[in-house]
Amino acid sequence: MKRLIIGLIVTLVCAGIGGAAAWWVASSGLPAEVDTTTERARLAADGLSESHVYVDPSVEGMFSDEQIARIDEAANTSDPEVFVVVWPESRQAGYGPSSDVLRQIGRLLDRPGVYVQVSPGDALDSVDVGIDGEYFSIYESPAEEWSSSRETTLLLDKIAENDGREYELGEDTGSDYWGGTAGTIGAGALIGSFGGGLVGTIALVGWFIMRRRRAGV
Amino acid sequence: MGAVVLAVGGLTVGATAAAAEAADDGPVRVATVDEMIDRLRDDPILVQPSMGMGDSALAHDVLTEAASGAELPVYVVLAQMPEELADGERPGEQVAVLLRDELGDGVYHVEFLGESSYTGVWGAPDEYDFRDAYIALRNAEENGPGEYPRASALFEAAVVAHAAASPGQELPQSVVDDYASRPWAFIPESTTSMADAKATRWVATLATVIGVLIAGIIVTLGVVRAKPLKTKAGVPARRSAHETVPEQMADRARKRLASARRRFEALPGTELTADPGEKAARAIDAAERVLDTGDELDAVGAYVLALIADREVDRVKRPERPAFRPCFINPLHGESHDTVRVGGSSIDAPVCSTCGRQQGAFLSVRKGIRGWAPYVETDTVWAWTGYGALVGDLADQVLADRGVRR
Ligand SMILES: [Zn+2]
Repeated sequence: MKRLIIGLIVTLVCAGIGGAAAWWVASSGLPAEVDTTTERARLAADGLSESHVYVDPSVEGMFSDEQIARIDEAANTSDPEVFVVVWPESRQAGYGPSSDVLRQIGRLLDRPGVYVQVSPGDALDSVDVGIDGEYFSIYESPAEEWSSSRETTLLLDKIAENDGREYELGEDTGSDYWGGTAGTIGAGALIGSFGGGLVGTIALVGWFIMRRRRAGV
Repeated sequence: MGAVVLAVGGLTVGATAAAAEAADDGPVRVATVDEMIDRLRDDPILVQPSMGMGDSALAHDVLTEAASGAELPVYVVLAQMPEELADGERPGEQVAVLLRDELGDGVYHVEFLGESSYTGVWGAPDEYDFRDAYIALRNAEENGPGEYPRASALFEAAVVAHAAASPGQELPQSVVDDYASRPWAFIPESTTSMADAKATRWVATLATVIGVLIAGIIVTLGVVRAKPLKTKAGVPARRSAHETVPEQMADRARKRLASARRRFEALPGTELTADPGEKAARAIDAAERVLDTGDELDAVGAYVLALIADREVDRVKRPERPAFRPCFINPLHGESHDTVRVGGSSIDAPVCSTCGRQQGAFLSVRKGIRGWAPYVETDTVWAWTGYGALVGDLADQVLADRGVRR
């Protein structure tokens, strides 16, 4: 009985220490809270302060004024709101994937909604900023022949799909990778159970073998 | 003469105005090769936001600095491709040629968004060689941050511009290292989202806590359950071949001996001369001789002698009690209540009741690195006497043994 209690207390203490150590180690792997904004994000945010569509000067004329007006109108009336950035995708502009720069724009603009990147020849990309809502993906693989009319239709369809989507204001803190809070707890419990079961069994077998050796059998 | 001065002055003013306009206007916007040429006349370095690694003005300054001191003009274009070139092959080279036609000899480094770079040199001796620059760049990439570090177009242009500014000289490693340490040197990799990283932290912590708990419970329960090592019949499930002398045996013996001596000294003087009293005195004497030798078996001997002395003290008042005889197998088992034919011998040895049911393992001492020897096989007084199990005068034999040895 005494051994049982001692064993359980040691186990509890080890679990506490181990948990604290794991937390500490994992904390060092957290990405730095990025508050840098890149030049492109600032330019786009400036453009979006007056409209819901920003067209980079280098791709001016890609869409007709009439197309831009329709997209602007739809983006403005959509709920949650949509903000569209039209420019060539770049990996040479100081940010990682396009979702990074879209988040930067959203942070600068400080208006919750869906931020969409339109790059002629590339797939549409979007990210929710400041809203925590139903899953929505605007991704659509790029067409062989890019045309502004096809792209406009697609974009308007997607904006219509977004309109009326359920959401709450506030940043989505759940992890897509682990599948939300339930997924996170489930993954932790599962990994812990398997790992602990395995390690415990191996340790116990090791102890039995050690005991036999020590007993000289 | 005055007209020329006026013209030069007008040109200077014009150029300054253009430069000022470029600075005020924010990022450079050029849609055609002609616009590009106009820009490069004012300023040989052209960087657009989409190629500027987050700050095209900073990129411009870095490149201007890198190209400073060059004998030949160094032109750098990091921009989006003008639409007129969209269908052409190798647009970088095409544009470099067009620029050279308008701007004259020099080093031209052109990279358009999504295209590969081109470096061309016109009007210079052969010593312009950018191989070292590219080797340095590849080395920097190999030592870069992240999983697949890729140098940015800006990093490449800076290294090339620096090499162009000092032709024929070795590119200083410190310069490359300095560039490599800047935030704009490498293409950022996709970052894990904060939510994912925080969730991962929870998963790691939860998994560790649960894992340690489960492992600990398995080990604890296993060890606790394994403790008896006996089957239902109470027979040792697995008998070991030897039993060791417990630690602190000498201390146990010392305590036993002290209490025996107290009881002995409390006896009335007349009884000290009786037979049990004398035996007790000799047992105490013998115990004292072997107590502090540092030998494990001697410590056991002292303990047994203390038990013998204790029993003799009892026998002063109650002579009907038998003298103390320990278990032959291991005197620490206690008093013998049984006899058993010990394997390989012809004598019946007294043993404890447990050994009477099933013979246990002999008290043993270490012999060699991994070996164990039963005490009966050692060359000691304890082996001959079985710690008094085989003889009635253990104290006398011990005193004789130790007397001789001294
Ligand atoms: Zn015994």
